[in-house]
Amino acid sequence: MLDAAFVFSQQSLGDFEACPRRFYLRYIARLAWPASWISGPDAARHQARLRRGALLHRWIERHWLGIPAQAPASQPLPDGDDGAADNLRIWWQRFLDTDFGDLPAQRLPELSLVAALGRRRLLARFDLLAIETAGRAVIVDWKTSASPTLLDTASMRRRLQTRVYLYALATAGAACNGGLPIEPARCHLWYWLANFPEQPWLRIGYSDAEYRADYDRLLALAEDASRRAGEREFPLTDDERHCASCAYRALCRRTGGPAGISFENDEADQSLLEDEAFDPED
Amino acid sequence: MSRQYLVGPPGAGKTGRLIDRLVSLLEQNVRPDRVLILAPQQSQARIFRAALARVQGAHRPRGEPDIHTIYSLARQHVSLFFPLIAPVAGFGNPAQEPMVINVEAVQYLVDRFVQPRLADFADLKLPRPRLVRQIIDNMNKASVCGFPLDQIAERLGAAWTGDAQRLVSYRRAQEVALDFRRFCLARSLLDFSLLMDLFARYLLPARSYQDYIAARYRHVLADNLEENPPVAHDFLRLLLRTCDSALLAEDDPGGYRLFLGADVESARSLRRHCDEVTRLDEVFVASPAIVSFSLALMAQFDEQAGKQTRPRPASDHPLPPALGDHPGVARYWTEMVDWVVEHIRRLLAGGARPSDIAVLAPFVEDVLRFELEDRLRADGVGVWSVRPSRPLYDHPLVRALVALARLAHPHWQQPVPAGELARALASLIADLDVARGQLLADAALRAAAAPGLPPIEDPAVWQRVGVRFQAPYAALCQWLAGWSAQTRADPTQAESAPLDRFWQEVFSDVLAHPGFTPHVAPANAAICDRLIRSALAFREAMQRAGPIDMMPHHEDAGVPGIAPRPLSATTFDPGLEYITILSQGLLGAQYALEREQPAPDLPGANDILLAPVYTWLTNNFRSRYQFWLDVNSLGWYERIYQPLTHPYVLSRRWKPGAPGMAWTEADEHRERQAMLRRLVGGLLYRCSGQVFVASSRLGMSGQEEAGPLERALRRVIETA
Ligand code: SF4
Repeated sequence: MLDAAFVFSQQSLGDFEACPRRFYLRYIARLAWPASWISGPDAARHQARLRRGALLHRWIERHWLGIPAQAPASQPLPDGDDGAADNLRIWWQRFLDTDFGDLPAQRLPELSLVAALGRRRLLARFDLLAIETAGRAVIVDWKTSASPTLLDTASMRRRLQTRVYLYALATAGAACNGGLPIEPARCHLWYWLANFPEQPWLRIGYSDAEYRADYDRLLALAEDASRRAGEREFPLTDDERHCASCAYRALCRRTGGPAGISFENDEADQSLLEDEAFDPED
Repeated sequence: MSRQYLVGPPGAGKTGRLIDRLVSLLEQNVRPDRVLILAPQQSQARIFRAALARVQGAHRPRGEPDIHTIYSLARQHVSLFFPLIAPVAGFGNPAQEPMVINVEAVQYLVDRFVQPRLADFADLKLPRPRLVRQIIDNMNKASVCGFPLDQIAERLGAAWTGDAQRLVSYRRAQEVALDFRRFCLARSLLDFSLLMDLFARYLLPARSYQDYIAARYRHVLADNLEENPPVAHDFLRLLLRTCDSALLAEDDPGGYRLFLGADVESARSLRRHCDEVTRLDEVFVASPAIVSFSLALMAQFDEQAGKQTRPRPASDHPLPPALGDHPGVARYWTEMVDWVVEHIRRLLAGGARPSDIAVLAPFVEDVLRFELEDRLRADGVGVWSVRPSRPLYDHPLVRALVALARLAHPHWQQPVPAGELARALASLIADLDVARGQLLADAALRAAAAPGLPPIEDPAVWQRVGVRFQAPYAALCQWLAGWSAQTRADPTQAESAPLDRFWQEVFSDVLAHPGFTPHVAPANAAICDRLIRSALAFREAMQRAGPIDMMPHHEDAGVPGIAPRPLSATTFDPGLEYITILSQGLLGAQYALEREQPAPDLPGANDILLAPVYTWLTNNFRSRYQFWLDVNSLGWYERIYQPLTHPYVLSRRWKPGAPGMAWTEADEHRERQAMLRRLVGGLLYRCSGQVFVASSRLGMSGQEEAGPLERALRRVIETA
């Protein structure tokens, strides 16, 4: 059974939606399972890509905090990908060249919000929240993937991350708005696309109707996941394409095909720069 | 709102008040990210997260406060503000992003600096891993107290009263520390000590950082201040100047994390910066009988405690109600365990749950766990053992994975003997016992034409071992053969597919599948995961460390069962280095391998808890019934022999150069008494039922001991 203190996130809801068993193994059994779904040099490249994304996020956070940014040109960067370390410098330059004048003036980098979702809670961690009193509230998410999906507005609008972020802002935005709720119509999510300089922004708005639909969908997922007990109530997915990029596939005796559903693998994760918990307990 | 300082014994409701304050702040629409909660360790940080989940029920949408330990906070802020401090902190290339290195890499690198100088430390007669750890310990203590490394030898020397050779050792140890520090600065490698040093000596004084935290943290909640090092108190002192409200809590008695620089006096200095100090004396955990027993026992270790006459046998006296029975005094250690088990059974028969019971001893050896498990098994009661840490290499699966790595890397010239191979196969292949593993290992060695794991075709072998083991064995040996062939074909393989990758792939392709232990018992995968992460972090640190010949020459002594690094090895292979130091025990005691506390609805939640006293205290456990074992042991009282470091001298209180700063026997006695006082107080205030104390004349290894705790207990019982 799911721990009462469990906080849902875009990632965990996505796991549950894709495969209840994966959700069970990750969040209920908390099974550390060091298998990898990619191997050989691909794995190293993938890891380097993730690190570059995480580093870019750190530089951007520094930028908004007014901490002098590094001089990226002079430092060695995570490589492992056909000289793609240069990407990081290019992304950084593109970031510096971007006009952020459209964004509301108050900029809150790396902000977490926890929104109520029925009896459960939903966590959203924004790369940046730009907000103006009684005006717009814009979540900005830095994307370093080169996947063309990022340019597909309809697909990005459906994306679980989009739904979770906008719902969380409309539900819990009061926490960073002096206690005043932020109406859905004032909520926006802008994806900044580091790899698409001709079209650096993908902007998504929000509405009351979408908010209600998100609530229904997210709540149904969270309640379904919370209601189940024991491994058997979390069956393996019927859609085996999810297994292709799942570490647990040997455990589930799933082979996974080459035509797997790929995750958004360039998601930045600051923990990549921070490794393990750092308490020298002993 | 105010700045309030709470002090009181454990169980007086301080954490509850902190949680109440947190809830009230959130209800007043304080921006959650403007609230900082500082806990002494991650397990206590989790208490606040769980509390948040409880209070932020259905209709309370909120943000997330910052919940940190001082270490996680320092790490995050040093990384964030690195460009500000790097140019002034002596980094060779301030523009290079820092890399935090794990303790394995730190131990390895310090060892590289120690090796050429081993002769300098010969008189200490310390095993090399312990020597390395004490040097690291000194660096860590200096950093959390906020003094530079070049003061370590001076401080230790000023306190030393023995022969002059020790002063030389202090200086040599300091030189190693300074060399290592220079090495890290040149490469932007952050070990724990450098990270905390940057935080304490560069970040905290920086005006822009002070402005940042002043704006960021308007409300501060801090628990167990006494378990934090002075640098945490420095940080809080800054916040107390600017925040809108603060609630700080101190446990008294407390201060058990001495090994990490916990400093009670430094914590108390924060009282001066608060508007109000509130003493909470009412306790909600310990019963009045326990409290009065606690006060009486603690008083035995006060400096003014009068010396009593020779105590009479405790059984002549009425029993204090805090004690469940007269002290169990056995002749042999096993009889003491029998006494404990018998009393546990009585408690269970009387309606107690196993999880109400904690068995505590100064040291918890495997044999104690085994004896308890063995005796209680018939009662259907298990033992949940919490120990601070165990070396990774102690785990059979880790040894098995190391053996596989050696088989797959023949150029390492590290053959795997039959006995070791047998144990490895038994650990990896589900249900295969060591005897059958031995049959397989013998057959494999007979069949081996080349290094590696050969196919075993002989049907007679499989008839004896069991045909069901044939498929997993074949899968393993085919996979290893494939890997070795690749390595031979591509000499750069070691670089493109390093050790962590090797382990991850053998896990993914073979061990995760049916027929292998991790598949059958997935909980075992956690240890594989830790090993792989550790090896990966080590490799990455070595990549950043750069050409290895820039470090002192590695004279590999070899260890039993592992051949020395081949003389022909001219290139540096982090994988080989990693398994060598792993098996040398250099990576000692870093991993808590015991399982976590079981959730109430999982099997095992009804086990009794077995823990070393300090571990139990620093984890802030509570138990209804406590069994104190080996109460006559000096382990309750003495510190471990650490000739190169000193928790009191390397603290902020100790002022080198001041008159009378030599550390004398009297100082040692006073501090040990004070610690024992805090120890018994801490245990008793966390006990809601009764305590059972037991000892044996002859300890586990047959030695006789007569420590002060047993004498103090007798005196208290006499006067009850
Ligand atoms: S392998 Fe497939 S079935 Fe198993 S957890 Fe992953 S996605 Fe689910």
